[in-house]
Amino acid sequence: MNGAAGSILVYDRIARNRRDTWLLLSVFAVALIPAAAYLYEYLTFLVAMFFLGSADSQVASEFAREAAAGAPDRLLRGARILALGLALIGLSLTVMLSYLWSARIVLRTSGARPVDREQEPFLTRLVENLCIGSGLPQPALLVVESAAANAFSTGLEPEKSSLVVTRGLIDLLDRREMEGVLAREVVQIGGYDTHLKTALAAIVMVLWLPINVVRRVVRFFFRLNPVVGWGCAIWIGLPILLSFSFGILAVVDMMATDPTGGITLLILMSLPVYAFVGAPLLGLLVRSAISREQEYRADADAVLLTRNPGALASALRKMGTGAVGRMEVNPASAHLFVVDPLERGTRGWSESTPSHPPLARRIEQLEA
Amino acid sequence: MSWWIVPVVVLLYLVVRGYNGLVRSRERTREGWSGVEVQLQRRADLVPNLVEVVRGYASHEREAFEEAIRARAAVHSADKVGEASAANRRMSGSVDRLFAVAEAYPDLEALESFLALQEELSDVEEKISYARQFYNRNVLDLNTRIRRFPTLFIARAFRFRPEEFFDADETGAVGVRFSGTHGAPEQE
Repeated sequence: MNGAAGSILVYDRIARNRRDTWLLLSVFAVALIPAAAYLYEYLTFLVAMFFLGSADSQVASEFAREAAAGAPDRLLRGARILALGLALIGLSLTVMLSYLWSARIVLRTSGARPVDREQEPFLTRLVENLCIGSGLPQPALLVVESAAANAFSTGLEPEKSSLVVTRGLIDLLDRREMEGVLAREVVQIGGYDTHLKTALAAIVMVLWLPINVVRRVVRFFFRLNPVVGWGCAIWIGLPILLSFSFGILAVVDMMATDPTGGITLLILMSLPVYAFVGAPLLGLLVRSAISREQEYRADADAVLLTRNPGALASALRKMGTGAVGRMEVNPASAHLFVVDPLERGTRGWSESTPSHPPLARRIEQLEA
Repeated sequence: MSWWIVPVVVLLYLVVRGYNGLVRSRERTREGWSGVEVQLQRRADLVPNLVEVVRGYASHEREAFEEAIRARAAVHSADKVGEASAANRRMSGSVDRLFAVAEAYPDLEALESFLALQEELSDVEEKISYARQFYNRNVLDLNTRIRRFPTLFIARAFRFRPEEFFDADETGAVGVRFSGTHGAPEQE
């Protein structure tokens, strides 16, 4: 940062965050290509079956009858083109809807409830002041009834953003500290950091969907009975493992006689591995590439607005040590929060790539 | 012959970009100023209520009341930044004086309407200071653009004028304290 004027007004940052969001969506589209390819193969099969099936019926199209009679190549080509179109539509719909609905998805999974001026006069006033100070429209204010002390904002446009705080945070912080934390969110909304982070959360949620569904099913059965849980885990996991190990042997065999078939088989076999390991890892990687440096900058920008670095530092300290309760958070949205909302140990495999820089360093930067 | 086109187009692009930047900055400054004005008017409109409440207890402080009403009129009639600055400082003084008068009457200070007014005034004051911050930041940006090379030529050609800071002395003080206490994180 050099020169106050250049650093506070955020036009260039808005442009960069918008560009990063586009980049992110492209990466997302590429990451979904295996799924689209799978859909394509599957649909080709379905469509071809449909054509063949309809060939015998009374209303069979000329095309289908002709294909069944003696042109299976044409039938297959037609089915492939149709399936490719459908798969591409599916791919772009997934990307578009994840982006457009990202704020809604994030809010829905957080369990936040909107509050108005009468219910939270103190919060409303603080947010109002900060919006006047940064020339931004008022975000919707929501509260999560949780003892955990945290806050986040979400939304693709500043005009349609939401600022969410937990009940625990309201109880924990004094006026100045709360102002610092809210300023951090307001500044991020204005600079389109929230825009980028919201899109990121939705994308990570989609990439983690397969593994989360399986995890949930297994956990549900574990709660019923550990034996049933193990049974379920084995029932889901064993076919994948077995088909993989036997498949490798088959691939080695096929490579000698039919290389194309071998490679196709190999790709098909690794799809579950990609869905359950590759894609989630990719989500983590993308997130760690984007979100961590932004935290320091958001802290610094919040202080430019409130001119009170001590208050934010003390708020962060309280939030790091004084938090008693924990809240139910979708790990995919962890990077949206002011401090990491996930309990150490429950983060599991995402432990290696934390969504936030160490709190002690952030406090140190503020007090420097 | 046609290679002349390239530098001309580049130059034109730079001029358009510089000009648009100036316009955007000036619009932000105007928006910021209207934000300040809204809050100043809000505070000015609270003053008669304050005068009413205090007069019920301390009717002899006529001079303080009259001064407060005059200060209010000055805020309403100010239409330049400098005038508004001065009028606002005058009003701050008279509000402070009314509160000083009220301090002598514990009954008054416990009055619900008085407390509500006090609360509202402190809210407005906070909003004024935030609105001032936004305005002054945009003025700083505009003035920097106008004086900086090379946009200074564009600014001169299109007659952009530097704007005045609101409450310059106060912001100056804040600025000094600000750079003193957190110069370090800024150097990141």
